[in-house]
Amino acid sequence: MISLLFLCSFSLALAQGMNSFEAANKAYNQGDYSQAVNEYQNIIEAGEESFEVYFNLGNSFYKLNDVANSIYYYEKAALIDENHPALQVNLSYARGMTIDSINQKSESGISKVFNEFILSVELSIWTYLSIVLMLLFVTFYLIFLLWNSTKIKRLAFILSIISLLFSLSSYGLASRHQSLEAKDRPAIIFSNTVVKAEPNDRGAVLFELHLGTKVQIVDQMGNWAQIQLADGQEGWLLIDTLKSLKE
Amino acid sequence: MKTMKFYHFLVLFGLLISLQGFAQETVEFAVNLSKSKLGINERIRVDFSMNQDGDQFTPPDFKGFRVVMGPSQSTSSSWINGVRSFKRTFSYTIAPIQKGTFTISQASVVIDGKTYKTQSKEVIVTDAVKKPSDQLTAYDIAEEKLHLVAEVSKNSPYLNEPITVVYKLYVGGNINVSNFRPLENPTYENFWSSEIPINKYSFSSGTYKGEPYNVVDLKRVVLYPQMTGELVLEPLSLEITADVPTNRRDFFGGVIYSSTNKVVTAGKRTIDVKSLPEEGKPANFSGAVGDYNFFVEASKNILNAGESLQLKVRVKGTGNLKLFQIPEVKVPASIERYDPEFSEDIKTTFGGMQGEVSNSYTLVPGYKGKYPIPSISFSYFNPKTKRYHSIDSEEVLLQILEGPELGQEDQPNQVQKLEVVADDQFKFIELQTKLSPIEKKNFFGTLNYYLSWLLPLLLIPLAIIYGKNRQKRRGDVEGNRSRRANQLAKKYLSAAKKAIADKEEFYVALERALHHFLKAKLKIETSELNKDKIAEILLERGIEKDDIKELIQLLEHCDMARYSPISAGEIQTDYQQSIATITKLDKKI
Repeated sequence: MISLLFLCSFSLALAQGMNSFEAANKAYNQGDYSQAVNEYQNIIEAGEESFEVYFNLGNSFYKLNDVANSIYYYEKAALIDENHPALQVNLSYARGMTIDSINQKSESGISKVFNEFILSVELSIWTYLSIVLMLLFVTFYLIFLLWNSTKIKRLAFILSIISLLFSLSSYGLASRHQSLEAKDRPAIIFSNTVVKAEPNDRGAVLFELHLGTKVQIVDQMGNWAQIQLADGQEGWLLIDTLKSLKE
Repeated sequence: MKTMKFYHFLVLFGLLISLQGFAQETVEFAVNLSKSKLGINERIRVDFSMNQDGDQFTPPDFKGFRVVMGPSQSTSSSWINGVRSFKRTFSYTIAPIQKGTFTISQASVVIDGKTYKTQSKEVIVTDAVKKPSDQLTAYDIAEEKLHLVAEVSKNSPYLNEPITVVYKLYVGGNINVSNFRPLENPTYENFWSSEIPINKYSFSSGTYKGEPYNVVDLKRVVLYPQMTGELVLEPLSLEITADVPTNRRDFFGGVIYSSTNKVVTAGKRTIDVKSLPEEGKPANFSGAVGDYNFFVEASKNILNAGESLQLKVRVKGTGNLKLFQIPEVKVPASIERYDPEFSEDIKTTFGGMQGEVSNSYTLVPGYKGKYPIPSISFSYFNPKTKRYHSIDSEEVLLQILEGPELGQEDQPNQVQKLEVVADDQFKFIELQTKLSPIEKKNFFGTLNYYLSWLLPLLLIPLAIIYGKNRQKRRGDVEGNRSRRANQLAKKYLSAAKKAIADKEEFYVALERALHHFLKAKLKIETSELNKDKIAEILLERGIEKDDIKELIQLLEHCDMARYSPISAGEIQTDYQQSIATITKLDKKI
């Protein structure tokens, strides 16, 4: 009964979200971009999301010439589907509005390929894979233990060892995935700011950053965040000039 | 005829009235000293002058002085443009008797029935001077009557607040200045300076230390202090050629002038420059002090990629226009920006610099799209309001209609760039979606995960225990067998005891009992039962040789006894013997 109620309310909320989405699309098409922004943000405030909501929000902010918000929502959409063709086109338009130009630093080959491989598979898949492989190991090992035929015993033993190794490595990859995710803290600059060498006002000014630039948060101390740019430069800035993409 | 007379009378009457009015308005009676401070060996001249004729002139008593000459009276009267001017002067030349401060008291005169009095004047008599004034040379007079003064508009300005310095030459005593030449021009160190040229030198009247002088502005400079603290204005020195009147007269009675050169110096001045207040100082303050307007303008807003436009950053107003930096424009990285061209249109006036300075940037957008050029802010300090002001420029939006799309420059095949342009327009929003709750919980790392990952492993020890149990049960079959053999051994042994009377039966039972005992103890089959084998196994089990021998003898005896006559006593002994052996072996195995 309760679950039925829950299901009902959930589907109701979903329907509301869909209504907002349609209304926002309509407002966007009529050129009322701030209204569209409101409607899209209603969906997010109601606790729902989708690639399209973020993408359309990015579009609306682009039309409003709001560089930082536009890039922020495009990047959020990119967290869901990085390779969406329309997203790539519009994101490059939005990036054109930014002041800063930062060159991508090429990472060393093997670790990059390895990390990309890990991140390309979702965490839940690694998780369930480790469980399934563990079950397989136990099954094969039981066969090995309890079966009489030597032939089958030998085969089961080999298979069980292989499954155990794979299960352990799946676990390792899952935890690596998790730590990579935890380390990946992208954020967008929301107000023009200076980057300092130390997390205090006396620190020497290293460089300036402007609206819409994407940075990685490396560390944090009080009100200050240590950030890294795509080209590897690091420095400290006030944390309220940033908005984290993963909140 | 009669009327003519009447008109004449009217005109005369009018004239009279006007004269009367003129006479009544401006009665002046004044005293004038040639100097107010003199040495005891000098003389001064005292003039009492009136502009209306008067009677009963009473001079003061000149206490402390001796009248050397006078009174001498001079009267002048003239008509100029119908205005009559009249002047009568009584002059005395007096010499002091002693040092000190003396007062020349009031003189009085009666004009039109009213008594007018002069003011009393103080005269200071000092020690004897080297050159009494009547022996003064032209140079001495020039020295006394020429003064150069630097007038500074403000003694404690803010940093970069303009101040003006005016060098004024005070000329007294009928000296004519014919030329001047600067000897030493101040460099105005730590100031930005601009001299305001003076086209025409014109005299005006002024006073210097209470005495009337003619004044001329010789030099005007606008200064912007560039350092805080006490700054020293260097003195200005001028060499002045002056014509000084002498006491001699020429044939026509004109005064003969003698020419002399005199160096005058305006004294050092110290300016205390205040630093700008720290309170409320904007972060982007670049030193502008004054009153300004600020603009950012683009020559065009809609254009194609590859075309150029001018972006002009202008600062307009009054203040230290040449002395600050115009804020820099930040443009999106995809727009090419060239170094700005600086231009200025500044007039320096007495109040400071006025006009505008501007930086003109040439921008060339490379890609199509929309590029907002963010507003920049310009801050200045206004010394009048003593506060900082900030002006934000308006945002300029550039729209680039045609051109390649950003992000394509990385692609290797640039030739195809133009062909795909149509596909790279800004994409419309997506219309279909599938919403999902934002909160995502990670299963990985939770307790449930570890339980479901590792719990299956418990099946392995369970299976091992199961296997062990099964083996045990299998092992119990042997145990049962030996237990049964043991029971059989006991059974046959008791059977043998019953059949102790029957030799044959006794020995068969005894043998069987022994066999079953060995089967139970040594877990061997009936087929394996022969004496050598038994001996071998027993030896392996660590049984002593004597015991083994005893057992073997017993078995042999059983074999033998079946076919040979044996006494009842022997049977009894064998029975006892076998029980003892079994007990012994039972203990040892």
